[in-house]
Amino acid sequence: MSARVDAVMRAVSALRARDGGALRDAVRAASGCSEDAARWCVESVLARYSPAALDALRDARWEGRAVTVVLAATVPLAALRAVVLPLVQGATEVRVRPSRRQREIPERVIEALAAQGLPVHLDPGEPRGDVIAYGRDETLEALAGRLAPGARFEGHGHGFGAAVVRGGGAGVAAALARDVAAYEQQGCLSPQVVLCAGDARELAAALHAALSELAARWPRATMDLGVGAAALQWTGAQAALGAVVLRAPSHVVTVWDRPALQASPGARHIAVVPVRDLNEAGALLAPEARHLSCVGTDALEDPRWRPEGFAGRVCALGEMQDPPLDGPEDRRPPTRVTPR
Amino acid sequence: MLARFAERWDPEHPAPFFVRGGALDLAAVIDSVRDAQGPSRCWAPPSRSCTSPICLDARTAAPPLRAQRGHADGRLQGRAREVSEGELRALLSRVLEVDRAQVVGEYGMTELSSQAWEVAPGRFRAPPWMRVTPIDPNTLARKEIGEVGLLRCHDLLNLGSSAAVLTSDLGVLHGDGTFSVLGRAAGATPRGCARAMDHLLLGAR
Repeated sequence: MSARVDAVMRAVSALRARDGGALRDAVRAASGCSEDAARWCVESVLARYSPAALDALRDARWEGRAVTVVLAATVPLAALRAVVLPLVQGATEVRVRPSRRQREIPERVIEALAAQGLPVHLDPGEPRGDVIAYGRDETLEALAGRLAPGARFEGHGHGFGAAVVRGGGAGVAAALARDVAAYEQQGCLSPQVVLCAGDARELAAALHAALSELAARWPRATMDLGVGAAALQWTGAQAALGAVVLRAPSHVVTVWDRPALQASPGARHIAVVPVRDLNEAGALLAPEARHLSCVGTDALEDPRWRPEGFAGRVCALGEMQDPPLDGPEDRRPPTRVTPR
Repeated sequence: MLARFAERWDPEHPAPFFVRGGALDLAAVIDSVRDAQGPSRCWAPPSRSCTSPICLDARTAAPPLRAQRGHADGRLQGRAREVSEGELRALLSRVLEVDRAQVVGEYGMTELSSQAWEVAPGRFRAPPWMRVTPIDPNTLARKEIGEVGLLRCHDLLNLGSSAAVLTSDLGVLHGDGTFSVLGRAAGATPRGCARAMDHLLLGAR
């Protein structure tokens, strides 16, 4: 197995050196992000790969089994981790079915891994054998229902991130702005809402300023008509429900005067919601704890915001979109595993 | 609003209610339409949300309802039944005994006082006091002729409410000032009167 770790590291080096520019272009094409944001994406993702990190992931979970990995259209380079995991966990063959909406990056990743002799290839057909799938809960249910008897299924479904902020200030706002802007809130680790136990209006104003500043370097990707319609509808609904709307060409921040969990349409649209204290933040998150995949917070040492049943990632603000290579990006237990 | 029309036009016959206990009384609707087909009576179906169930019901029962015009404003969608625009127009043509060319489309919504009417197949024209403009959701700027955008409606008849309504409908403006509606933006929440009718039809089962 250490040979596979070495092969993965060689593939990562090749992606970084030989294909770095092409990979950046592919990230830009897939996400519409800026050159600078694409560089950050490629460099931050590839920097997580080290022999030690890969060694720590080695186990016999997929020993001797052929696995199909079904990818979702999500943050551009998530495909790399999704494919590498079964490879270092003993799979004899990894077939990859990319999303129809996002093919180029998985193709580059697979090409780089296969060039190092790793048993991985594209397979856009119906998933066969054991299946690891990423996507919407409904998609996972449908996939699991079509598997052959005895096949193992591991599904990674719906998830969302939230920020829990105890204090405020420019440093917190700048870190939060980075979490919001990275990948345009497309990923399951992206913050969809900010719960603020301090002065919510002050934090919202600081976040508004920080997002404007960041937009000079990382301009927002152009919204397509679907996202744009959802974003405009969200903004109108927030205003109608009484939130104060802070709007800029690159983003919208809303601020509430009462605690209520808010969803986001993505594309740098985020609500700042006041909570009395961290206990109230936990109570607001509790009904969605199972789907909560990441919490970024400045209250790392204070567990009061942790709702029961929460099994996602916890990290400092500004690090929500840079998860260490310690398992699937979403550390929650798989949404569905069969046979149990 | 409809009750006021009924009072003005026909004070002898107050507008009946067809919804009882959360369900639509289809038989009563059809009887009422037939009753209204005398020479001095006018029956104004307010939208597809009302006419469609009649048509659909009449597929298997009921003699035709004679009419001079049919009115279709899109497809009926929802949990109760899904009907394409083409099917809806064919049904209206058959059930109301009018030529397909006399079944005209309309673009309107509860939030607007005015409507745009179909003047050529798939092309709508708004009245002079209403403007329908495809816009770019990133900039809110007007799209060029031929470019697809989200439809924004300005209706000067909306005296007591917002004169500008931004929809999640996709549309395109043509060089002659007409526009086409291309459906809902992907991921947009389904909205409209047909949704309410859908609930009523489910309640009727």
